[in-house]
Amino acid sequence: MTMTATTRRQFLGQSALLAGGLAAGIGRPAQAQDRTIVATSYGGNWEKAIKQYVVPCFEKATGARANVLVGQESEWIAKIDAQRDRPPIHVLVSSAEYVGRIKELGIADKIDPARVPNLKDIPPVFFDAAHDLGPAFDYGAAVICYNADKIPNPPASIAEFIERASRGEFGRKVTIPGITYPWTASVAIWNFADVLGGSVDRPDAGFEAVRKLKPYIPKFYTSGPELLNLFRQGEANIGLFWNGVFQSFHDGGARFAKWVNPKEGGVMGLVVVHKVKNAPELAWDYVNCMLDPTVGAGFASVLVGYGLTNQKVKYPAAVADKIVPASALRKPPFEAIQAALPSWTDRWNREIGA
Amino acid sequence: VVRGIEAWRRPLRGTALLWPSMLFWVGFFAVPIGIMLLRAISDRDGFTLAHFTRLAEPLYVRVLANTVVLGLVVTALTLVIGYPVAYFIVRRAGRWKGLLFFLILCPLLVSIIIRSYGWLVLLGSGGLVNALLVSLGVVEEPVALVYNWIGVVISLVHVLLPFMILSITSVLEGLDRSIEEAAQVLGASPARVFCHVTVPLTWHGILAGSLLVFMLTVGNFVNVMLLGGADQLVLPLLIYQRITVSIEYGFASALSLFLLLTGVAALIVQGRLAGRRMVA
Repeated sequence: MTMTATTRRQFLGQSALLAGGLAAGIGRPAQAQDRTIVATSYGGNWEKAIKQYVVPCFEKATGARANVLVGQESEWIAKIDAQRDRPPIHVLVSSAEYVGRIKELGIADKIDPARVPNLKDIPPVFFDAAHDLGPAFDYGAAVICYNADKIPNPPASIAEFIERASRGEFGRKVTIPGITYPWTASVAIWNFADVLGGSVDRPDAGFEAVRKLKPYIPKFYTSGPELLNLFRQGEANIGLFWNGVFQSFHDGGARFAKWVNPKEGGVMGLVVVHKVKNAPELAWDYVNCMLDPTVGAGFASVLVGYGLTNQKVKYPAAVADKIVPASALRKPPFEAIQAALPSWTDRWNREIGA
Repeated sequence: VVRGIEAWRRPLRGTALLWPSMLFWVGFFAVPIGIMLLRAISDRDGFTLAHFTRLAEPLYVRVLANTVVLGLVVTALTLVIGYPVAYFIVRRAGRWKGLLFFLILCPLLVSIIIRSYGWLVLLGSGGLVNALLVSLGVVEEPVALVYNWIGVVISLVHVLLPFMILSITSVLEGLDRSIEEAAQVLGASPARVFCHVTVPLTWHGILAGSLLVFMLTVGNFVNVMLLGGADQLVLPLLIYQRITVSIEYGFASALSLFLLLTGVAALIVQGRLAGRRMVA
């Protein structure tokens, strides 16, 4: 057996080549990183629609890459807050409920209209929610959802829902979100207070309504899938939830699942898109793509029932009638609710429970 | 000088095997706890004890009581159910021992969320158990078995039972049978042998299993969130609320430290009981 001996010169030459190769290799990921952004998304159909429409729009417009991070706001906010100088997330999609906190932490940039041309087609009602940190991208409606087989004559208004449910007319088959659900403050407390003459500063009527409903609620739901499961298992026949998800539930085979927008107007839920502070400038292009009317139309075809904020979006015929117009909804004072949330959470735990 | 260096080196060399785990412990336990403590004693204006003084409010005292009582109930039930199972496996199962171990560990192979939804299907008002109870005429209307403490306790006992059984089994297996035989030869009845010899000699297994089950129960929030109702408020749920809904990191940190102290207290009690038994 012959062994090949490496001379000192060969060794030095190979080392130089290796070092050169490594240096080139190290440089490349750094460049690639600058051309890659990370954007957040909710899971399920949301993620599907983002990957199908928003990401291709961004990649086509910039030649850069976008990675989608699925999760929820509290987790994203904590990650950005922990690494403010080099944020691991560049575009933050969040419910308007979190805008107050995002503003307080100072982790998002003020919107730059010059970098987001599609902003001109977003009406003010969808923009001031974020106080120019970022525009709303789409909106949902918290409406009265019910099992049409069990409740042929559903309440037409929130006031009627509270009155009939707290009389026991629907039995112990009512559900509303509990305080561990991030939208409860607007969907339940503020919603009830608002229709019963209260406000964000006077939420007593809201809490009183929840107290009256409690004996008829087997479970205050903590997530969307849990609510759907309650309806599927027959544990709930009526409740408050987002029209879009409930519509998908119906379209997916649960024919009994119907919803009605209450007379007072359902509660508007907004999803806001922010460019994170210290994120690459490319992030603006992603924000612009999210507001693109063509992207919006595609998004609406996947996430049925949700309205897009860009006025130029042309909804596919099959979904247009399932979207509640924004004018038929009530917009909660998100920032004031966010500020009241710690004390409302305490009060809920004391007076209602989990 | 050489002797001095050698004097330093010797103990360091002796503990070298511990360094990786110590590094892990410091990086992933001590440092995060330190950060949590800092958050708990500060707010935007600087140092504060406000987060801790809030814990004295009746709401939080009640929630702590709920958490501890739930931990004790689940621990007691897993012990009562788990001890006979462990005893049977060690003393009676013979060649079926392996299969029984597998069956006991089976619940741990399924995700906690799937398992909880399984319990909802079984125990719900339209579920299998209620259908059976109604069809047998035991009850006229379905009874509430979920969205209350019953559902929470059943699901927790189910998932934590293997921890108790395995802890007791490991001690029972190492037990010298001749001690029990000696007691029998001296005229003790089987029940007396069990109560006065077997159980005391497996005390460490009981304590280890109880500590594991208690700690895992007081730290659990998935089962409570999915199978509990409005009145099933425990510390982990409060922490979850403060982090995901109201985003109050300071107060959430104080609550987490409070929960950690509950675990430390359980550890101290376990240490004392173990020590006392050894002395006895």
